[in-house]
Amino acid sequence: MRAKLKLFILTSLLCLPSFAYRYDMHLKGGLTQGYGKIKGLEDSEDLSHGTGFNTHFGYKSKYFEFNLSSYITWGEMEDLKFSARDEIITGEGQWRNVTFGPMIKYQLRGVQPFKNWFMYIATGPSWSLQTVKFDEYESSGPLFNSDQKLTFESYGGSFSIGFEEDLPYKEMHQVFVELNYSYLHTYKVRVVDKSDFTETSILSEEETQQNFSGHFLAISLGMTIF
Amino acid sequence: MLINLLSRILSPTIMSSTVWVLLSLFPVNTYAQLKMVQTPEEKRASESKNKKKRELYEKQQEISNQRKRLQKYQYTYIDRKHSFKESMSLISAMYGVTWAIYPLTQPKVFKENGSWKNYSNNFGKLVFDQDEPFWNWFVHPISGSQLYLFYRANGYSRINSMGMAFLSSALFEFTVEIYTEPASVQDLYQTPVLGSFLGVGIESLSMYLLHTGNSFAKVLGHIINPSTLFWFYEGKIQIVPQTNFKDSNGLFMTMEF
Repeated sequence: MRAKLKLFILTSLLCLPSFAYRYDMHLKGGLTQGYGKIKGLEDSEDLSHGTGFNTHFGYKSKYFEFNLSSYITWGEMEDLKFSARDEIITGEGQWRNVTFGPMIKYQLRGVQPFKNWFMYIATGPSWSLQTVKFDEYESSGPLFNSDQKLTFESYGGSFSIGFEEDLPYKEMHQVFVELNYSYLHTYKVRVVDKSDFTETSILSEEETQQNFSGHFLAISLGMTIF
Repeated sequence: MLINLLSRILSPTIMSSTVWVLLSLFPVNTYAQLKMVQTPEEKRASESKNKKKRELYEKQQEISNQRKRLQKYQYTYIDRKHSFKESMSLISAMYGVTWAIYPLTQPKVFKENGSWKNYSNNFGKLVFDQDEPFWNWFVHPISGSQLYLFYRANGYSRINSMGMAFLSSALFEFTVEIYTEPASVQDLYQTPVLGSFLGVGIESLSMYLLHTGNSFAKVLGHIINPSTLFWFYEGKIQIVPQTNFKDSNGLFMTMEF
């Protein structure tokens, strides 16, 4: 009898009508704090960190969400070592990271630590462009100078875990908090002339054989904008 | 909507019975319920405090309304549905504008880097551009915000305006800008997305400025949100006071869309 009652309660709970907004497009965004570690030349470990923002434009079905996401951070990079035009360059400077990717997200209805806050997981491929402008550097040759910046083009995958409010209307501006991990492999390194900001002049472009790869962590806090 | 929600909550009788069963089995709300119980004195004090606050708020509102300038127009945004034909004609119009604006705003780039040979080479290409932040995080979001505000002025909801801005921006990237350079991932995403973020802010600020009623703020409001100046802006409501000079007074409001 008791088992039947439990079964009855369980099935009734599973049939709970959902009061959250569904089947609609949305734009979400917020602030991000990112950390990165790039494995560069001769197994050097180049550390980076930055602050910025995240945006997610997508569609929410019942428990799944399909987003085009981006994480943009500005910060600093230390101990970078790379090779371009047969020169070895080491240094530190300003770091910018822009990561884009389609993400599929699933809300775990069973994990609700606070009222209306549900856990979710998200994953998807990522493409990223990282730019480093050197404040201090040492070069083994004459070609690299302070009017040049370095860009890495990378691809990889990312995985997020987070908690988000689930409320009846998106006009209630649901809040989310998320931890995102990305693994990115660099496939192109460019040296770009930055002396004239109105024109982009690529000085060298190398398909990377330097085995650059990086791990990136981002902590984000945001809300549904509309 | 509320009725719909309530009916969803209340209609299945199974639900109410389940809730009762659960409440009796797991009396987890006891502490919260105890906290909610107030003595009559506490209740009276709380009600009196709330009443005072409400009266103060109402008085403030009254004073604030009395001190506003008289305005001929009310500015707002009204979301409505659009036919496919209407949306296509707006996208086409905006597409034509981008062809005109691009060479006018960047004549040097257009002349030096632009050619039909480049156009065919760049067609279908998508790259990460190496532009400076000035372009990617200032110029493109500003352009995107004006695209968003153009569609908002035409009666699209916020999310639909962003969708339309996305389409317009993609058309520009894949079929106009390729005259000088390949389409860029950053521009494709950031123009409509960051543009819409910025657009929401500009929308709110311009509405605030337009409602102050003074000339300076109105000019500023129209400068940051120029779509509010054009004939296609649907949120401009004309307010005409009506009176029979005896006992009947009112406001007559007209809007075109």
